[in-house]
Amino acid sequence: MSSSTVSVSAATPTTRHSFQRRVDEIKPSKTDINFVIMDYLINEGYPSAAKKFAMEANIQPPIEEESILPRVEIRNAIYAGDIEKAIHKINDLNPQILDLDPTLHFALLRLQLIELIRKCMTTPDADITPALTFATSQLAPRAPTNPEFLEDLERTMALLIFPPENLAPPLAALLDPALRQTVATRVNEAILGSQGARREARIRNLVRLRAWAERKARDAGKDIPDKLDLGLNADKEGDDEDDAMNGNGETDAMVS
Amino acid sequence: MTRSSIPPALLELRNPSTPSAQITALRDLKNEIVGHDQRKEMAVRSGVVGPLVRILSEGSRRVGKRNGGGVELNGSATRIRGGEARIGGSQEDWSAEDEMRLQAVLVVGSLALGGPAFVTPLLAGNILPPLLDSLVLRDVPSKLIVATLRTIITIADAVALDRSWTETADGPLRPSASTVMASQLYTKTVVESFAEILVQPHPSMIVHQEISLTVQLITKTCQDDRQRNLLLGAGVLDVLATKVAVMAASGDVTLRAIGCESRHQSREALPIMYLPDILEAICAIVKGSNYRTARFLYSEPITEIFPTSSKSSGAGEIPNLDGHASSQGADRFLPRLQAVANKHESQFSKAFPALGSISMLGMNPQVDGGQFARIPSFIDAHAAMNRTISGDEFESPIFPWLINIARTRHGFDRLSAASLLSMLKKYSEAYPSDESPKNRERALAFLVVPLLVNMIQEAAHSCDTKNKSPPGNAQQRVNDRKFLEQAQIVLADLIEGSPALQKAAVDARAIPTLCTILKRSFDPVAASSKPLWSPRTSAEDVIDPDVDPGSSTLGRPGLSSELLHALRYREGALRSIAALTDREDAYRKVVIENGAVACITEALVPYPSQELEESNAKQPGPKDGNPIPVLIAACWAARSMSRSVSILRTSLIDYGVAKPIHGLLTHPNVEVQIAATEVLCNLVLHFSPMRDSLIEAGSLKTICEHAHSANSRMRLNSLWALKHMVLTATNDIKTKCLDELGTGWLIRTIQGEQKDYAGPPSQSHVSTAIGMRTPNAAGEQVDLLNAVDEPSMEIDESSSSSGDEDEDNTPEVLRRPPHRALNSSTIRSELKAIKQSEQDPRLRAEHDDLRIQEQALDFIRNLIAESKAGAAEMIDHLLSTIGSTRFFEMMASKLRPTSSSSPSTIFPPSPARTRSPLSNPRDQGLTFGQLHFNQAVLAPPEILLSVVFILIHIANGRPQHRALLISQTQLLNHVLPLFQHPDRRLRVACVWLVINLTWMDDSSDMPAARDRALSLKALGVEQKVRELTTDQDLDTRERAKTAVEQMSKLLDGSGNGGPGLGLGGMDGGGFESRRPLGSGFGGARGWRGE
Repeated sequence: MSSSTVSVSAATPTTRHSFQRRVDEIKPSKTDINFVIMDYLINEGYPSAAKKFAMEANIQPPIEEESILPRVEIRNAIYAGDIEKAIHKINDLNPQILDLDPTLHFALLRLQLIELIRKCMTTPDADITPALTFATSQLAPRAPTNPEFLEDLERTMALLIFPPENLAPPLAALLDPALRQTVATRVNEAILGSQGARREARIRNLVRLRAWAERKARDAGKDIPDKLDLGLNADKEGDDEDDAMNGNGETDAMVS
Repeated sequence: MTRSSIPPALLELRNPSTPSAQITALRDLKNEIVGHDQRKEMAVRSGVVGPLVRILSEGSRRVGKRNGGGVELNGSATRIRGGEARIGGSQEDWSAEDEMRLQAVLVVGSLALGGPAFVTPLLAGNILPPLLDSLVLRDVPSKLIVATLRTIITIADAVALDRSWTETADGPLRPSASTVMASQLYTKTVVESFAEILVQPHPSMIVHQEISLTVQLITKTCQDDRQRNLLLGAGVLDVLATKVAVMAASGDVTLRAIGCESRHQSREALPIMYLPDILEAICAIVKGSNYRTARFLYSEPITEIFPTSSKSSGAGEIPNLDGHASSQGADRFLPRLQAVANKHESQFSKAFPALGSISMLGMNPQVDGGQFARIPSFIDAHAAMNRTISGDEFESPIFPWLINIARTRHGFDRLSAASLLSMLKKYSEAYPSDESPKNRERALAFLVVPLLVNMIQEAAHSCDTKNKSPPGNAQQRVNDRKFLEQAQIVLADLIEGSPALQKAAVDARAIPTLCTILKRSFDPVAASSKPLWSPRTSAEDVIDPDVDPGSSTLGRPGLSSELLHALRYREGALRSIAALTDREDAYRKVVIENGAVACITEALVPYPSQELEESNAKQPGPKDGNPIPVLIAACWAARSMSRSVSILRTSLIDYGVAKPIHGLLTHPNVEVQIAATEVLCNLVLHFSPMRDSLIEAGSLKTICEHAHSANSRMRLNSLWALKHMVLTATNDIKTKCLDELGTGWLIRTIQGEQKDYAGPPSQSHVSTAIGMRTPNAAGEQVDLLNAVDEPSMEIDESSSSSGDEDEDNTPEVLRRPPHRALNSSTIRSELKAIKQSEQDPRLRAEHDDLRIQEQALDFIRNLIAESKAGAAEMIDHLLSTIGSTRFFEMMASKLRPTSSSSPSTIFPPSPARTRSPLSNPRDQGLTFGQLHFNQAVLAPPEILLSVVFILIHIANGRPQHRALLISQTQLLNHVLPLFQHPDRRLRVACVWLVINLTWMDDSSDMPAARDRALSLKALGVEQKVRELTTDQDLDTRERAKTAVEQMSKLLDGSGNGGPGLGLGGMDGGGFESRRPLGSGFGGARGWRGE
């Protein structure tokens, strides 16, 4: 699993900036990097990848797989557009997650409504009654509790009115699968939070920290290269990893 | 799809067909109601509670049966399963019944999230017992236990929001939700199952969750001493101590204690994220009791990981080098802080500041942080000045360890560590070790207090609804609120009674912050959420006759969480302000400048009781009144503020504090009454402008009634207030007060309910265990009254058990303080002593009784303490109502050493001791050390002092009063030993008595005065006074000289009496005018404050 280690320090531009030299001098501990990767895999819910990684890197496997599995199932259900199943699974896990977070609950229900509408849009002359009933019973009662809910609901209902071919960008965004990803991430964070764990993988924080540090350094006029790559997209392994981040489910690009 | 789906599910539940159908129904129901209050309401109205309770209790009954054979036959085997199975996971024996119960538990949890309105029917349906029954570790799957715990916590949270929190009545007619909850939760069985859950080894995440939820539940619900002791008795505290110790020994690397750095990380240790849960639960259990705190501090796992430093150096078993290394290690946790210089050093440095240090400070403004500055280049003989505070100065290395956690970590880790520190600090103040507390205080002042203040500031900022920062997620908001509520309480606990820490908080700009927070708590709260919209206008109520009405009717909506938050942080701010201002006038002024007094007054207003019942539907706002905890906190704040004379005369008048305080005197809750009386003590002092209006309003009568209360604290505080009220009052008021109280009652109070102070002979010897405070703390009585100044009780018991002789003869210096002598038997006996002093009802009663006696005596003293003619009338009145013989007999009984039987029970067969050395001390060549010991038979100095002052005041009356007093030979004989009392106040008082007795009003009094002087000489008083002219105390010496002069003039001849009398007169007059002050609020003692 040295690939990612390499990818961090792989970027070697031709003109070496003094900053870059300093970067090269720093030898990050492999244990730390392995830890960050393992943390990412567990947090984002890649249990089998985590197991394989543990074998390759010769570190302790994650303590319990079964705590990851429900998150994987829920994520997959959301990715697949089966929101009802996802909601039920969340409620099986811990009903307080949605009970205590109306915003998240609303986001999920709206996604479910979008999926219903999508069905109407794809099949010609479909009956829109299920979508309307769902909106009335599930979303409408919650809409007045929060102005944002109302706006979201209105926009979603607009999907029923406009032809799907040329939607305004905000409406088109609703049909974009990326919305599923966003919601799935929020659900994942909420579940982790409910278990008392960190809500996101450490690496995300590290990346933000790095961006913040870079901005601070630039603001202060420090002598650093004009462009500092994360080192993730520079080569092939990085691309693979990026796919893994957004990939779906168990298939792990990194190990394969 | 939505509404229609509830009835089928409910129908299925009411008429169950198959388990699987029920499971499906429950699951559907759950998915329907989650996040949807309307549907929750409908479910409850249509009677869902009954079936839920049925399912849960059937489940737990089955568990009992399944268990019935198993436990007896192979109890150990099941236990092993419990341990082993958990590692692999809990799925293996997951039955349909388990699933059904799980779903039912989840439904209950979701319903409870609807708030108090939903919890009322749940509790009415008796939901708790079956839930609590399923906390049996050995035959309930972990998954179900986790869900159950979560549901119980939800119910507990909702109960906290219940209106009963606002109810003013002491005992509500119907049991409130919280009392129901507390009584069902804190039973032996339930608490033992808590302990069982906690004690299991924890390698898996689900066990972590079980433990975490259990301790959270304990933290949230543990509120009174009975519950705390129950938890202690079930071993919960010990288990938690073990958890902390294991985490410090082999948990997360950043948590390691000294000497454990190299250990292997163990899976037994809980992950670091559970640390605050554990620490908070420990705080919840030890709170309010030094005994429980000591139990934690000296529990085996804690002393093992955090050995006290002298264990290594003192015992000599471990090489010195090691001890050195460990002490250096302890400093790893503390940054270098200059130690507090001792008196000599500080004088030196102030008078002659080192040049080097000054130039350094001048050159480098950053270093110039006042006391923060260490002087780096001060290399000369005064190395002591550069001495840094080391971890050894704390009783236990757990102090620096916690300080380090508070400093290096954030959020709840920091808060909970600071909270535990505040508890431990209270304990170490009550039972101090030989180290000076100065350095410990400094460490806390510089390292912890600023962090806490900062935490309050940040939390206040992010909780401020006005600033429109992105709200963050819900969890964050909940956390911020918790920080704001709790950090203020922790701050108050930490700085209470410690000027150094108060200063640190003020330096961190705590006062403006707290005042802003306090003011904001009165802002209208925004409605938390708007109600759900419903397509139908109102739910048509179809009342099903089959459904039990109790469990299908929603309860009152309860407080909104916003309002509860406002009330809680109001309480926190008031408590912090009270703690900040209990000493320093300057801080009080800042509080006033920040406009907080108006808020304090406003926080003194209770809920109007009737109105609340009538306007059930209306949500009370933040300005509609205050619940009991806020009222008490506001009283404390008012008490602290009223300790300033100038504020008493200005701000407190302007904002009309007196009126609400008077109102609270008749509040239904006795704790509120006591808190209000404590404020009143200061408001009715003779220089207070509020005194007259308060007396006019009738507070005198109320207080006199309260003085007869069954509650001893109420009696004490009422007498205290009365004592202040009668000082320099008109004779009308004094007489009225005396009549209201009843002389008979007063006499009984002074004589005490228990005349025999001697400790019961059965008590084991514990005197070394806590004989650590005052040099003259030999008898318990002595220390009992020291508690007037130091609220912590400290009872030094002497008793008859064998082995105490050596201990008693040990000079004070050689007595090892208990913290340093750490073998298990001393720990045990020490703990026992603390427990006894704290929990033995007899000792407590004696202690209270003595304090009340003191106040009663002071009351009499203030009745007659005045130089004007009115005082003489008062003396006459007093003597005639009580009867002079009875009165003087009463006084004598207070001065008399306790009956001869008591000393012999206290000090067995040693002949040297059974003699009464006090009557003839010189023959025995008593040293002070022995004298203390013998004083065990005398009343405590405070009582003696009060009695002697009463006599002084009588001697200050008319000549016939003096004559009357001088004729009380027996009484004066009892005064005689007091001339050698180690307490200088008593010696001075005795001399004053002589001065007053030999005082002449005019020349016509001359013969009588000479007679008096002669009788005094005959009694041996003159001799005693002469001895005191060489007393070590200056005041005593000078007064004694005056007295000797005055006496010798009377005795030697009449010729040169004139000038001498003049001198004496001046002195005496001076004293008389000072004396009432001294008796009323001499020093800090008179100010009401604990």
